[in-house]
Amino acid sequence: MRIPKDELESRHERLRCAASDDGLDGLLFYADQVNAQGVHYAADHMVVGECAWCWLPVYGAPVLFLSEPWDESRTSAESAACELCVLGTDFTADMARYIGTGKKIGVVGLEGIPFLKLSALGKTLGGELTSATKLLDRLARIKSDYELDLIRKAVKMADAGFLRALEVAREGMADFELAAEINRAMRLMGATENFQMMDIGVGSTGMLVPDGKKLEQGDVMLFEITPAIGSITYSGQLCRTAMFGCKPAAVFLEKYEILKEAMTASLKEIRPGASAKDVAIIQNDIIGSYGYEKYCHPPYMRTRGHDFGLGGMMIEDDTDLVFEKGMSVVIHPNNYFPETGYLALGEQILVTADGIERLTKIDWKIYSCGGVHR
Amino acid sequence: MNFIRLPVLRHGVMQRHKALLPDEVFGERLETVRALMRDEDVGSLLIYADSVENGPVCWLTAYPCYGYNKKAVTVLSPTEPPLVYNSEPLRNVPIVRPFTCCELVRERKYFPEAVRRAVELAAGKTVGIVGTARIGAGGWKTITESIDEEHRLDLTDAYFERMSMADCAALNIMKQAAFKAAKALKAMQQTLRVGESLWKIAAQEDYSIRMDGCEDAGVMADCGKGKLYPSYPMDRRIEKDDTVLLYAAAQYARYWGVAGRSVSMNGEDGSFQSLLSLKEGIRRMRLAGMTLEEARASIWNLAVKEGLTLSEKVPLICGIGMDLQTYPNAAAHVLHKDAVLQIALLTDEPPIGMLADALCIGDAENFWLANID
Repeated sequence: MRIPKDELESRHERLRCAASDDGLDGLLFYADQVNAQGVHYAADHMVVGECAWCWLPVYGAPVLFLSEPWDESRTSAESAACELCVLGTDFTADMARYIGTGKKIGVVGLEGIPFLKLSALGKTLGGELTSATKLLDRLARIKSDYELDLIRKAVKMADAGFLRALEVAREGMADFELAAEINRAMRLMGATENFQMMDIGVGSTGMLVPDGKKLEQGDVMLFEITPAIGSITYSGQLCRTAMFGCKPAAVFLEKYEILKEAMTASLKEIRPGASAKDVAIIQNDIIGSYGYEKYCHPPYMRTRGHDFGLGGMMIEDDTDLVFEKGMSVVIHPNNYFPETGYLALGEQILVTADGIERLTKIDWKIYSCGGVHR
Repeated sequence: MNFIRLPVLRHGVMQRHKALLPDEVFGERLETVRALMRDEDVGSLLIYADSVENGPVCWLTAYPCYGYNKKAVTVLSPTEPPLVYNSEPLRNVPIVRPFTCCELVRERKYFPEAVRRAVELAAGKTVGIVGTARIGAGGWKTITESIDEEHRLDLTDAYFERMSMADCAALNIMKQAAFKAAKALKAMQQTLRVGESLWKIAAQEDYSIRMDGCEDAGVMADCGKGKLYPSYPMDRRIEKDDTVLLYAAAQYARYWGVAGRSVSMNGEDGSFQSLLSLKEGIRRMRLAGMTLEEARASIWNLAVKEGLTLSEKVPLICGIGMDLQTYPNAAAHVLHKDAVLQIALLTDEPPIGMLADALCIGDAENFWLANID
């Protein structure tokens, strides 16, 4: 995947302005394989090896530092906008040659850098290294048209993954086989990542990773499917519930109506200027009003929505952020009910000028599969 | 770091695998670590792991840092069972508890609490610390504020060195993981045809590995006529007369298995027979006792005798286990019997040949975990 040149230039311009406003000489982005989104944003590079850094000076050209010589040719094809430097054994000296010394540098992802590495770099560069992680979160929270297009594609992948699961589910099938089917369907559509959580069984308290359980008649299937394209910032999430081999009993439909009510009220609330914490409070109030207040908080539930990767938007009852046009978040009033176990309803939305746009095509209902009409 | 791209969340089957890793195995590992503690005269051990370097905690407790920003710290005293402090949200705790054979401690501030406990258990003696290369600034601040320099000792290398000597259970699993990777590789080889997308091939193999009961998969591929390296598969199509590099990694029951090969689309052998001959030579090398640098030089010299020039860009040798680049992974590290290495042989000039496999070091000779051509 290549980020268009004008998109990347626009990012660099905004980043440089923000860095300059903060009195910084430049921004240094750090990525390892798990926290890779900062470098991807600044340099269009997906980390495969140990780590990568991107130096974006307020004045001057960006440089991408790479830990793995064997990944140089892929990187140079992928991240053409940056000068490339493969780091040797003395990585700090290599970086200092490009960055210089004695500068005031904002480090994006500083909190995730192993201390020994950060300390060695700090000693060589001198000057001042401060965290600029929130600076990037602030800038990246509003998505460009290009970014929204990626999120829309990711949502389509999540929809396809869910439908694939319903299509292939059969008695005796293991949860990890189901996850593999979802994964393949989405990878073939171009997903580079899948933050896949699920559970099958009865009376679940939440979902996580497959553990080898096999599908049985009457199982509740919970899905939180989150494909991403290039970076987890461009994820699209779908949370849904399905019954295997039967239609949902009345109690399930009744409890699911509560989630739908919470979802409807949440989506009605969201518009530019609306408070994120109000959305969490609305969900908790509605679910709580049916006698489930206890189950709206830890250890049962935590967040009521969030964005992915860069942005740092959490929809919780103490979040001090407001929605803005161009944000994309998942809203999930998923909840545990003692009568049914955990039920999942959540999806990715886009904040528009006057409200929201639903991105998924999957209905709000408990699906049935395994020979039962949906 | 090895060739694959780690997932933000392992989403293959994640279970304890008690039949493969019974409690007794962890009991023996605990004894190994306690012997190290006695040798170094430390009163307690603080072992850190995260989702990038999962091994140190997992080896002793089976607790995997299976995903995005998951971290864990094990605290061990000379007598009490290990405690696993972790960063799981409360609601996940009942789900992840069965992953480990040890007591799971969930504290909101898991790291300071683990450090506090380590200091308490050390009772005035030194605290040994493992996993220092991954601990972030916040963690270091806690450590330096809680333990003065005289009372802390970095035991990362010594711990990893002991961890590198695979026990029977680890070897058995790594063999299975290597076979799973080799199986996926073979299936990939059979799907190769001109016009096929590397992305599609990789997606299919990722699927096969997951369906085979693995915790996760890593598939790398590249194709072309010039210099090639194992690469994250892009949507490139195979062309006539291309060489294709394929690399599969399968994580099974916490351990990684790997297999990589080059395939020439025109059927010409290129350097592959020479690589096979080199592979046989490596099997016969007495590696135990060498440093990594000495082993690298020996393999390099053997390659030259075979008329091969190997690429200096890929790591020719590194340890594999619960992580895809572990001890031995520095020039001075010593190779021990029963350590498992990834040997990645990649020629430097076209026609490119590649062969990557897992090798277990023996007393005199070594053996390939999945002996495929």
